[in-house]
Amino acid sequence: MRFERTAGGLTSRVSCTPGLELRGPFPGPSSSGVSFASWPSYFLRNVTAGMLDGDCYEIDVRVGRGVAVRVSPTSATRVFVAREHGATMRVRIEVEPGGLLDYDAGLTIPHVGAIGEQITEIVVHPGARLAYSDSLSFGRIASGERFAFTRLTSDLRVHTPEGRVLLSRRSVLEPPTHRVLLEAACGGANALGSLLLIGSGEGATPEQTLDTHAGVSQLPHDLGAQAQVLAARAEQIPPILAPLRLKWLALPGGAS
Amino acid sequence: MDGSADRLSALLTLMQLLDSSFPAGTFAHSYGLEQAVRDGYVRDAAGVEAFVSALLSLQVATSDARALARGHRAAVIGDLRSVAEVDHALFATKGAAELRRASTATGRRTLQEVAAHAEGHAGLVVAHLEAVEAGTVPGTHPVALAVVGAAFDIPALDLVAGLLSSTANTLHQASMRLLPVSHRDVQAALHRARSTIATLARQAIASADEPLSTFHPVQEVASMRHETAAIRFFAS
Repeated sequence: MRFERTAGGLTSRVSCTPGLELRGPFPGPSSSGVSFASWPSYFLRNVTAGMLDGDCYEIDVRVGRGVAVRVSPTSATRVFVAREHGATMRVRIEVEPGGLLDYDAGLTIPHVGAIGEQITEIVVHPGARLAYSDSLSFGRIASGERFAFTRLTSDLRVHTPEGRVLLSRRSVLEPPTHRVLLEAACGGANALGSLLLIGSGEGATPEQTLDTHAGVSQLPHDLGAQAQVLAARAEQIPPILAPLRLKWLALPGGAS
Repeated sequence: MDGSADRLSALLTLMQLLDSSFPAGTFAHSYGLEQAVRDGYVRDAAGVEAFVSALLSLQVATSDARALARGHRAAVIGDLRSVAEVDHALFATKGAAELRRASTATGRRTLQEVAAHAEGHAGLVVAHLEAVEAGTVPGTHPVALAVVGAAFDIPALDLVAGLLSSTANTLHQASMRLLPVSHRDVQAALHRARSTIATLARQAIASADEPLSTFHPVQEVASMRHETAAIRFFAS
């Protein structure tokens, strides 16, 4: 996906790997007194049931100068049982100076025996802003599955155009060997959500009050701020993070 | 000195570095435990042990300890550029500001204290400290230990095991100020952790070149929330 501002307005060039489909643009929503109507909003849809053994999806998003755009999924990403290598999702995001992207990677639900790998590379130019959120359910909780997947690797890196790594967040979850430790590390929660506000920490100061099991902190290298939420149910996460996200997006240069 | 005297000297140096009285300031940190107790995630001695075990296995061994091993390997050959690279890499993994500050504050204090007394061993330590004070490297605690360890001929495995052990000790000591946890509870937990720490130390050395990875959301969220807590006994 490439979003650019030209003399004729916003242009978007979209091509998707098989299985993925991008719908839009739609007018952005209004919420809590903040209007995103001028923002083109796109929805990313996986037309298959989810990520199967051997699948490899690639998403490349580039937002040009002066463009503000939202991309979010239509549903959760299910990762199914794997016998061999598992499924891979590679996401590359680049936001150019003056660009603003609100990207929601959505919820990942690993099923019993699932093996999945999510690799996210974010390139942020000086003067660019990005809100990036993702969340993980520790299984199909309603079906009685919790930490029943085989392995889930998540690797997120934020770096400058020159390649200097500013933030690195990698986890390797292997319930078959670490179940007890994972339970302790998650404190009984069933889902974990994260929101990165990159480009400015303004409006996301630690004084922001969030739900009991959520926190906000400033990122290294004055990169911005992040919030994390531990929740009993994955659907509790977006409403907890929404006020923070909206306030940040409404800063000058964002929504009106 | 003969070989055994060298080994003994290295062991004594390691014991001094990781002793709770060493003025690096680690005793002032609970690394998220204080807020985890306040939020009800950790309620008793068993809860502390589970919190610490998860932290050692899913964070310290796979991130701090790998960085220490990598940094030590570079420092031994005087490769301060590679030391700086691993220091930056570890710093970038610390998304929660309090945990980041805890690591760099204790790292800097360690370097300053050693540089003040290191005499013939000081060259490498002083060079790294100068880079830290110039702001060109972050000065994380594990990488500071790596440099000091290399300067004093402390083997990497001993340093990594020492880091894991002192982390467990610091957290259990903190727990006694936060919960009805006794000295005997703490010593029993540390006794049980010993073989795990030895295994994790060997794994960290063997996997030193693998990517740094962490997963302890209770600690991370608690650390973020601790930043604005009204009452704080610990710095993190």
